[in-house]
Amino acid sequence: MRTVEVKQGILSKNDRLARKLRQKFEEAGVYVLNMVSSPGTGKTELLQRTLKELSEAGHRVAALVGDLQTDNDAKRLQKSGAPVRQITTSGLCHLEAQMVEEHLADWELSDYDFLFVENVGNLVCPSSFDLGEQLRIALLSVTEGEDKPLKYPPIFSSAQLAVITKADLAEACEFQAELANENLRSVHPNITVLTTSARTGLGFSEWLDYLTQQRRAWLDELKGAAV
Amino acid sequence: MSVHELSIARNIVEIVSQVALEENSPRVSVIHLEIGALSCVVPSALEFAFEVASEGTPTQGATLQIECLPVVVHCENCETEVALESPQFFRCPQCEKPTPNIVSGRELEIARVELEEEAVCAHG
Repeated sequence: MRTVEVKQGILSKNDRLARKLRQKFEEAGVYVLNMVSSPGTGKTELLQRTLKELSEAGHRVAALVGDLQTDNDAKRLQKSGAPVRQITTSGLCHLEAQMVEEHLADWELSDYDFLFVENVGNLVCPSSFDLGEQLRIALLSVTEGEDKPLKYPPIFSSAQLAVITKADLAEACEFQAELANENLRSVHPNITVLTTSARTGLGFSEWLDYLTQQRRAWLDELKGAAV
Repeated sequence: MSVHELSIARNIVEIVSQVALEENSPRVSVIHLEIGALSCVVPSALEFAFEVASEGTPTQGATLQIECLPVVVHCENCETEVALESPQFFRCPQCEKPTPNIVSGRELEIARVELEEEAVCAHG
């Protein structure tokens, strides 16, 4: 019997591919967002309005949508007019970099400013899989309860932004915004928190401003690095 | 078992089988893993997934030795690195200030493996 040192990341293959994707996204100038949440948080509804409003404001947007089965979400999102492609994972509970790469193979990435990747509805599995994104967004709906971040720390600690969704239902659900904020900051002291309702448009101007500012800052940083 | 443990198990089998091949070993007996508290891996689920994924490979029957690592943060106030008691509370356990600077805790690593030697044929 002998011992061999390996010291290798278990997901190093995914990480390598994600780095390659990130470099591709940088070269194309497309800002990629990975949206994660539990099922039913309203990712698709948020995305539908976001794609529409960003397009109307002159931004070029596209989306990839991950689900275990069906292309219902892609069909919903296509109504926004933006190019949308479904990734059906056939039972896999999260997206991996390879699936993103395969589904983007024939897309001209430089035709887009923003690419939204809607991950499979799941608060556990997607957290370890880098997709090459620039921004990871964890969604939390007011109907889910304020303690979700405490129940699933890894996903909220790996996201830079938390978006509270379905705020139009907050009163009916007796949602305690302050407590939710406190719990989010408990698992991630630096997280940015935005509150939205895709139904009423509440919080949308802040959300869209945030996205465009983040992309601009990212582009500036890339330019700085290139000099 | 959530399916990401199966993905993780498959990656372990792939990497370790390659190591066994390069080292000319017919069988892996122990795989030492380091799993951080923020990695979302449930050890019992991973063990079960590994049993499934390792079938028919040199890793079949190997034991997983899983070392669970805490989340370590850098506290600017205390100017020191400290382990959190729980990933639910990113506060320095000494001064109780919020501490967002993660030093480690997301590990998903194969540290080392124990390999069996090629059987020597006595009848040469």
